Amino acid sequence: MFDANEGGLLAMAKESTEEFDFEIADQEWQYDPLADAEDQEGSEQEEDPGDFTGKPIESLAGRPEDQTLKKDAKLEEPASQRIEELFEKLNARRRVLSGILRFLEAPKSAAELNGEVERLQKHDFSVYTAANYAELLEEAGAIIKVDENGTPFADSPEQVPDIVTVDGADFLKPAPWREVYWLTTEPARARLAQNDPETRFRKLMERDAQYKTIYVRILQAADCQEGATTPQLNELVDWDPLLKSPRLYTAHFTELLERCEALRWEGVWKTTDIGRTLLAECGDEETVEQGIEG
Amino acid sequence: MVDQMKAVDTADQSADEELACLMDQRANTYMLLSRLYLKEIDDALLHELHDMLFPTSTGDGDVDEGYLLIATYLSNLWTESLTELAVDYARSFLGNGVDAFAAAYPYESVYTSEKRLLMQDARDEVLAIYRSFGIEKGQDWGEGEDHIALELEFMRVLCERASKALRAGESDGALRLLLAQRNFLHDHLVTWVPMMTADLRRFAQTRMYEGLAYLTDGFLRTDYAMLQDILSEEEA
Repeated sequence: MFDANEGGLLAMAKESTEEFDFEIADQEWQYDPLADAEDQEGSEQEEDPGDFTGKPIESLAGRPEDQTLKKDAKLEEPASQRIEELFEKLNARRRVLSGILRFLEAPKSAAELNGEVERLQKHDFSVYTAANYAELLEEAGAIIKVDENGTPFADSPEQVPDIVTVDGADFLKPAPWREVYWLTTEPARARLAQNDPETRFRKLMERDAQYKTIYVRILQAADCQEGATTPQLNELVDWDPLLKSPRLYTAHFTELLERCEALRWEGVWKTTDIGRTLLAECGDEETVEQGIEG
Repeated sequence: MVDQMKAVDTADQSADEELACLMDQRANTYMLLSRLYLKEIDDALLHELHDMLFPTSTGDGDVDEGYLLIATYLSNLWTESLTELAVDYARSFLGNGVDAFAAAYPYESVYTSEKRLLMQDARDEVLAIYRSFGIEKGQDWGEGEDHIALELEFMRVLCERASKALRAGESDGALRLLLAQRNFLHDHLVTWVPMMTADLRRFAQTRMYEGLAYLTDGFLRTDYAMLQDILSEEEA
């Protein structure tokens, strides 16, 4: 890897030792890092830097200690609050976040989490990877690193290097890689337990009573094996006089239904089991006036 | 008499070979340090580091501390270690760009110019030195020539040249190369690197880069002292 002739930063223009110029030993090369300061400040007495002592010396301009990195004050907030804030910030990724928390109710390896996130985002375009989600959720206190037995890393002793003897001399040999598992924390479990999409849907219906017919129409159209494409839903909904003022489009309703877990995106829109139940509750107040094919 | 001369020649050759081996070891260490400062650790390097053995007692406290910190970090690797290290590299050496004190900027000019600016006198100095040894920076190098990775790489080149000179029986050439190394260490690396590593210890949040700071300090100090010893014997 460290082959001198491969990937070296310096290209040797001369290879022959006879051609080397050894003027570096000449005193002309003496480099004085404080020369500039001395010229500018004139009368100031320059301290003799003396021989190298190996002890770190203060930076010339100094750097106040109070500029050292500070802990994020956010970490002082309760986990439940941080989790809620994360869900608010990543509103569009709420489904994936909830999916991860459910998946990690039992310890799962990072590789397993990668697979689950891949599955959850199969039909999405997202810049977030499993590692990104894990980091965000860990910062929010929603998941923790544990070992295969579910013991938190913070409670398990740090691995230390082994000492091996080679030709009479002792060496440190790094321990094997750690297998990390993720586990949903209690505050995140509590949040999952409180997750009540049906109540959210009912509240939505109360708030958007005038649009109930639109919601029902979408759920009905997507309630089939092949689902409904976005253009099909647009055609079914966007013409409705209800949506003229204020002007609203299908995407507004699909997003709200998705947040209530009544609708799911799988490359096409599909009504979920929850959506089907809620649809039954809504009764036959609305019928699809225009078939998808029509 | 002829036998005695042959014996002396053999002893000299043996000493030169021993010294050449030492130069090779130093070249490897400079190469490793240079690589660690050059850019983020990649997967291949991380695995290579994990497979390495680190001496426990080198005789220098900082080197031992550095190796212990690095080996301890490597003993707790997991799937996201590469990301952790990349983040720590950016935090430690690139900073947030708010001011000249936001990171351990790995340039000599920053630590030797009053306003902590890049491309100052130190860069001109080292560039002239590289050129006096017939060396130019690589085509793909877009940073200042006083970046620590380049200065360490320069030391590696000088170590390798010294090794070749010793094996070729060019004692005078080897001696001049050792003098050049000592002067470069004295005038440049050991002048400013301890300031940078002090900052690195403040900013680094992984043991890898904290250990690198200790290792660099200790290695440069012991290497400089060793060269002083060798050259004082030669001069005597």
